[in-house]
This record gives sequence, C-alpha cells and structure tokens, in this order.
Amino acid sequence: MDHVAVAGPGVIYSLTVNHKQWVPGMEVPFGLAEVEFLGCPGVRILGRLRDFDLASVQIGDQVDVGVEEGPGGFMVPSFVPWPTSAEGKV
Amino acid sequence: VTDIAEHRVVISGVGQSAVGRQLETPGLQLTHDAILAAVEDAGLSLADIDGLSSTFGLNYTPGASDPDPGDIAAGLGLDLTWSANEGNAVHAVAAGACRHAVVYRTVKEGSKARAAGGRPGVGMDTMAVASGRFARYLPVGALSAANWFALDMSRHMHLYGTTREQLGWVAVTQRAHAALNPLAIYTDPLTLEDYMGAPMISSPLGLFDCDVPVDASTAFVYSHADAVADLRDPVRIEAQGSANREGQARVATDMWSRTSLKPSDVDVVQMYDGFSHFVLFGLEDLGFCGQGESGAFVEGGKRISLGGELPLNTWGGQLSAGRLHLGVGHLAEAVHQVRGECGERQVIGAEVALSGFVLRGSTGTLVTKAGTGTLLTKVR
Repeated sequence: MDHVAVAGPGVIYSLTVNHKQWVPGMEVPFGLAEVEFLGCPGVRILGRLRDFDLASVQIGDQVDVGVEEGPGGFMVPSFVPWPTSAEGKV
Repeated sequence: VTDIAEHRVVISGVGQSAVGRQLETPGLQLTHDAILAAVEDAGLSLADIDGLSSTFGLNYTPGASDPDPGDIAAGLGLDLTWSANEGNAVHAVAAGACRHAVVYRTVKEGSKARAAGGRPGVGMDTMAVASGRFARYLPVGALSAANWFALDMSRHMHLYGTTREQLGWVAVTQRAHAALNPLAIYTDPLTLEDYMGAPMISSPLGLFDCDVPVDASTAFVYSHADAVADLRDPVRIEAQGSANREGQARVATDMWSRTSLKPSDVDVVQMYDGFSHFVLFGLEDLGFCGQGESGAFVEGGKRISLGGELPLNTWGGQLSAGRLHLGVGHLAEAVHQVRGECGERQVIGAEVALSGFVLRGSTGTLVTKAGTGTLLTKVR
C-alpha cells in the first residue's frame, strides 16, 4: 500500500448529525460525513463537517479538506464547504 | 454444494437466563443459568456435553461478558473433547470433534451503561490506542455504532427515497410483538407518533431505532443428527450461510445455495436489529424484497406483523426485548417458533424459520466476525 494525494472537491457520500454526548465534554450536535474524491473510487474518508449548516447539508454536496485540531492536540479529519460556492453547494 | 455439514447437526436446546436492564447477578452466573436451561431443554444432562464455545467474541463492546470457556467448563464440571472462543459449533459437531456442543453469549451491557451514567462510547475503555476500524471512528468522535450505521441509512434514504416514517414501522411493529413476550423489556404500545417524536441520536436514527442494552445470557446446544432419538425436541438446520466481513448479501447467497427452499417458503423471520434499519437491509439482501424496496415493504406494519405474510421479530427483537446480541435472541425465537412453543405470539403452522444475523456497511465494516443466516425446519 502507498499514500496517494487526492485533489478536491470531495463529494459527500453519506452523512449523519450526532446529537448524543457519548463522553463528558463532547460538544453536540456535530456532523460526520463520508467523502469520496474524484479518481479514487471506493475510497471514503470519514470526517467532521465544519462550517456547514447542519440543517441543510446533504449527500452530494462538495467539500474541501479542512483538518482541524481536536482534543489532546491531535489533528482531526474534517471537511469544510468547497470554496467556489459560498454556500457549499454546486 | 453437495456436502451440507449442517444437515449432520441439529439444534437440540435453547436456554435463556433472566433478562433485565440491570441485574445484580454476575455474568458467570447468568451463563450457568442459560447453559443449564439449554441442556435441560435438549433433554440431556451435563455429562452429555462434550463441546463448548463462546459465541463470536466481539468483546470490545462495553459490557460484553462472555466468560472464558475454560472457566465455564471448570464451573460446571464438563468433560470436553472440543472447546473454543468464537468457535463454530455446527462445524465442530459435524466434523465429529464433539457430539453435544454448548454455545453461549453473555452481556452485561445494561449494568455497564448504568455505571457509565449513560450508554458509553464504544472502544474508549477497551483499547489504549485506536486501531483497525476504530482508527477511523474515534478521532472524529464517532464513538457509537449509531454513528457508524446511521451513515448507511442516510445513504439508503438518498438512493431509494426511504423515509423515517417507513423505518418507524419496524420499531412500532416489534413493540406490539414484545407485548406478547413475557421476557421482553418494553411492552407498552409504541405509536408512529411516539417514534417520530423521540430524541434524535444520530440522524436519521432516533431513540427507538436503537436496541436496548441489557444483562442476560443465552445458550444453545448443538447435537449430532444421529442423536435425535435421545433429544426432547430437536430442530433441523436446513442451511447456514456464513461470511466474514463481506456482509449479508454474501451470507444470503451462501445460505440459499445450500437449500432448495426459497424466501417464499419462509414462514417467520427473525432479523438482527441492533438498529432498526438492519431489518430493512436484511429483508432486501435475503431476498424478501428487491433492493431499495424494504421501506415500502414494512410500511404500515401489516405485512411484518403476526398474522401478516411475513411475521418478523416475533419476540420483539433487540429493540424491545433486549440486546441479547449477535443474533442469539433471534436464533432462540426461530427455534421456539418452529417447535410451536411461542404461546400468544406463535405463528400458526410455522415450519420454516429464518434467523438472520447479518450486517453491511457503507463504512466497509462488519461489527461481527461472522455474519450468519440460519434456516431452520422441523426434524420430523
């Protein structure tokens, strides 16, 4: 196996909005999405949705990679709206 | 396939311990209770038992409590020729490794949830470093199976137009069945309005889409088919399909390839329901309806109710009768239905029962080592 660079936009394959606090201190709600990238069939990256309106984000929306710092200083895979569209839609 | 190993094996006994949201009884004692009940149900004694296995392991789930087979054997004084963790008792009996094998699954997930002040995240306290599939889940806060599997249901709704209202009929119908099961946890009627109004857990899955963690143990005895004269009421294993990580479509193909029976021959279905939508996917993949048609199939609940064309999860399922886990509650009910000992919830004339423990995931994961589909029929 090898690492391969991917280029955006990514496309949301599926998503969920988590409402339950599974551990103390967990901020809810938050969005999670599986994202596919052009030229990488079958590869789906799971990440947090950041800067999305959780009430309107949907499967098919385009995203950019937006890794953010999470608990303990670890970097968390995250996605933000694709910048060519102000609302993250195309 | 011409050599059907499962035809050399019968399910001779089923045993169920007490089932409760929280029980003071230790898991080891619950397991003893279940095994003793199963052996008695088979018409056997402990001296007859020469094989022993826990079910499928999967002990990373908080509260999973399968005792080690060595401890059970010592505690019950068993004289074994075969024992295993996560062993396939059907294959062991068929191969002659033993003649009467006990299999058990024990959970203390109810007590674990109470101790944690609520249902705990998965993997947090059972692994020092996130690895395997958990390397995907834990860093992003996907700490519950509800998160992982909600992704599958979102995708199903997107592709096929399945609605939450349609999905709700699984929980609503199973609750009505649970009212007829003396061991069920929740028996008060549940309406579709109750379902839709319940708190969202991980969209589109709400509270009533999630099964209920309990403390309990369930055990089975698998016996060699040439011993049926010694057994109280054995049940034939018509076909069993297994798959490792490839999901239930593969399980279904495997199972149906080992029998001349078809989905239309099945009188009653017990379908794994860790979450309600597993039932939808199971109905599709096991061939009871087409891909994407399961929402319409269960809508209104009539078809899957007692008296309907395909009574489903007649014991209430894990959603209402408790998360016995890994399909053991489903398999137990399938045996009871084929034997005709289900009382008020008996499907009249049930001769073929399907117990499906099968999962698939757009996340590319199965939460179990082996998905199985088991088709049971009367011995005589």
